[in-house]
Amino acid sequence: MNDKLIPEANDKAVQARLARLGTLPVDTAGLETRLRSLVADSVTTPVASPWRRIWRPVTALAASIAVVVAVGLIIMSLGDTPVSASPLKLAELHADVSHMGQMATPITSIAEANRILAQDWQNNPALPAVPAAQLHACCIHDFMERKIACLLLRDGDTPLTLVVGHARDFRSTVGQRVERQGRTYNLHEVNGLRMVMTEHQGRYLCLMGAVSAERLLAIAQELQF
Amino acid sequence: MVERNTELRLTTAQAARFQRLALPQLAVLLRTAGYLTHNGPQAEDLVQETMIKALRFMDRYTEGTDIKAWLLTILRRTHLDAIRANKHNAALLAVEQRDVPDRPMDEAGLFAPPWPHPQQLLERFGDQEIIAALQALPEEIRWTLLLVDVEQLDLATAAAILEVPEGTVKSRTHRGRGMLREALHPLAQQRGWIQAEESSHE
Repeated sequence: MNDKLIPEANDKAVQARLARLGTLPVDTAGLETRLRSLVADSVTTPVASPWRRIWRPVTALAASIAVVVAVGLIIMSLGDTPVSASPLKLAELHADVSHMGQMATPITSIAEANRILAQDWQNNPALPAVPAAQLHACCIHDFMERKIACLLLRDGDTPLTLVVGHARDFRSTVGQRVERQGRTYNLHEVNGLRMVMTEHQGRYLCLMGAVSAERLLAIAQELQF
Repeated sequence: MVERNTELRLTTAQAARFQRLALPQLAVLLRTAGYLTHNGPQAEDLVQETMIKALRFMDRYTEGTDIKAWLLTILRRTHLDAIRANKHNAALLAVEQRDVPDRPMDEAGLFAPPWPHPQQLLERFGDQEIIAALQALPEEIRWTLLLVDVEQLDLATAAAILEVPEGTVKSRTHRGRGMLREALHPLAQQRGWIQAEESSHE
């Protein structure tokens, strides 16, 4: 026996045996259910106590004044300087929106989506109708420190996200420029996720999903404002 | 030990990010916690607490970096906190850390006798016996083997999780493997799988 080889062979044998422990099945079902429930509970608005119910109008008024002042300051400081919507951050947003599941508000029509968004966002940009895709859910996100409306769609089995913001807040990042029916689109791709950006009637729009650029452009062209 | 969910306030974006990035790592965390504690409910508690911390600090995680390593770091710190919270365990941990200094690689063989046919011999032990032997190892050695050999992380990642230099991980890995065989050696002899004269453990 070669004494020098024995410790190495012993080492490798232990390594291989321990590696097998890493392949043993683990039952995660119970804990996963609890964690999903905990997450869902944590994003739900808590029920207010009676004391808080009394003070709510007062605090709401104070908060409203604070919000109006803050919004005014923000508008004054930002002026008309929209930020360039980052494709990388939009890709992260798409991933988040696609995985929201039960936390997003399910919708059946654009009118319903606009109504829901208006409840939490005064002067929200109106969502366009999307005839070619199936409506799924909507929500409002904080994106690059500004609000943006997100519409989760499905093109067959593929999730698509349409984000709509104010053109005074966002502008298209320059990418591959495509002209269709008199409108300019900027195409981007991040890790296989394609996105088309455009501006229309004071709104910034970006449609994204793991489909071809042509398919995205076709859906984008069918948007009804 | 488990924090109450009423303390958590999440935006839908934070929650969605957690579900997309952290939840797929649940099996790795639960397996590691299971091998650490050898106790199902305790392992679930440990992982639940880890995940609640991950939820709370999800904004600090940089997308594109290793989420598994990030979560395992939280798991390790949570586990150490739990040990330190228990005075008896904390004393044991202190003794372990004092008694098992980091030795150079070439001294690894001091911990265990070389076996003539290690692979065949190790195959004869059941998974639970290997896990029980892991349990007998000092905390930091056990963590090193779990990261490097069970989860097969590279040395740099394991070193970052364990907050020690790569060289320390390397030497702990070698010593840990030797110590694991040493823990199994009496059982192998008792079962007649290995004779005293077959090994150099004299």
